[in-house]
Amino acid sequence: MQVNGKQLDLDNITITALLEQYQLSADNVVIELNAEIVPKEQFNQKLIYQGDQVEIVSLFGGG
Amino acid sequence: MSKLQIGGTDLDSRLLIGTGKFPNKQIIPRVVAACGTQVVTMALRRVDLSSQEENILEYIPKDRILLPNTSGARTAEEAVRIARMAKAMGCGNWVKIEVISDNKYLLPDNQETIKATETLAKEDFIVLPYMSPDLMAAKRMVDAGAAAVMPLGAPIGTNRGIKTRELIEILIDEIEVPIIVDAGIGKPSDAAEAMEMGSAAVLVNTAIATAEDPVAMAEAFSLAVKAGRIAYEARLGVESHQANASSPLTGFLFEGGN
Repeated sequence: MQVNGKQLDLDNITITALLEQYQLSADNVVIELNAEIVPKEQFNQKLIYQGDQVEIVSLFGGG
Repeated sequence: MSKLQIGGTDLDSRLLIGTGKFPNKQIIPRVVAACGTQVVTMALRRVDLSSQEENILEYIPKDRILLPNTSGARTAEEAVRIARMAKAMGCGNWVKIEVISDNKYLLPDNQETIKATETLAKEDFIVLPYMSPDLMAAKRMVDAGAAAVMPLGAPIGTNRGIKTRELIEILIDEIEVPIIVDAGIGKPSDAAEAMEMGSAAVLVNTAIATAEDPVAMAEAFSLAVKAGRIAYEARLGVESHQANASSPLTGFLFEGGN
């Protein structure tokens, strides 16, 4: 799967598991799976597969 | 000083601030407190998977309105996508639309901005579009549902002041929603100038964030914005080329002499 533009060798994992792998808190991020926003309530169930495109986005300083 | 109303919310402070370029995030709550701003902008970006980063929201007092921007968007479609992500993030429904594809001057694309404004206003966002000051574009943004219009004073981050003054004055005259001067404001006196002109508010980031003492500079901007607004509401006196004496013109010692 592609996560934030990087090819990762992962398959069939939940969003929660992916976030844990990168020590990211679900509260601090928004996830797009194949250009669709995934509601936070679905992070525990939603599975991501090999060919998926995932974007993990967060808030930063900006004007 | 009258209150500013945007999207049905009354605001006491007419200074909006951005959170970019500060020397550290820890200073942000002190800056917010020093200037009393009620609206704070931030940006969305991809998380860097190789580094642990803190959430900027932890540094913004909870009672402030969050104004996520769509920086990084080059098209209306991308801006809409970023705005929806910001909402999903829990930022509320305010959004500053920023659509830019010019990398040298970072001038906004008014046409794409109008399109994004229309889509997001229909989705019940409170939309504040950042724009190049142009009357027809501003009118179209208002027709599309913009809650305020944010013309630039000078290109982003340049600290050059209100170079677009005459065009902004036309917007202030002709546009019924609040005009918020965004970008280019480099000094408190620039902010005061924008407010004296009748701008409803100003958005400042670089000038505060890159000052040697951002907390003190935030206070200076807050005072300048208040002074400018009060001056505007008090109606400035008329300018003239010839002198008009402020003291009585009758002679003091020699009147009726000899």
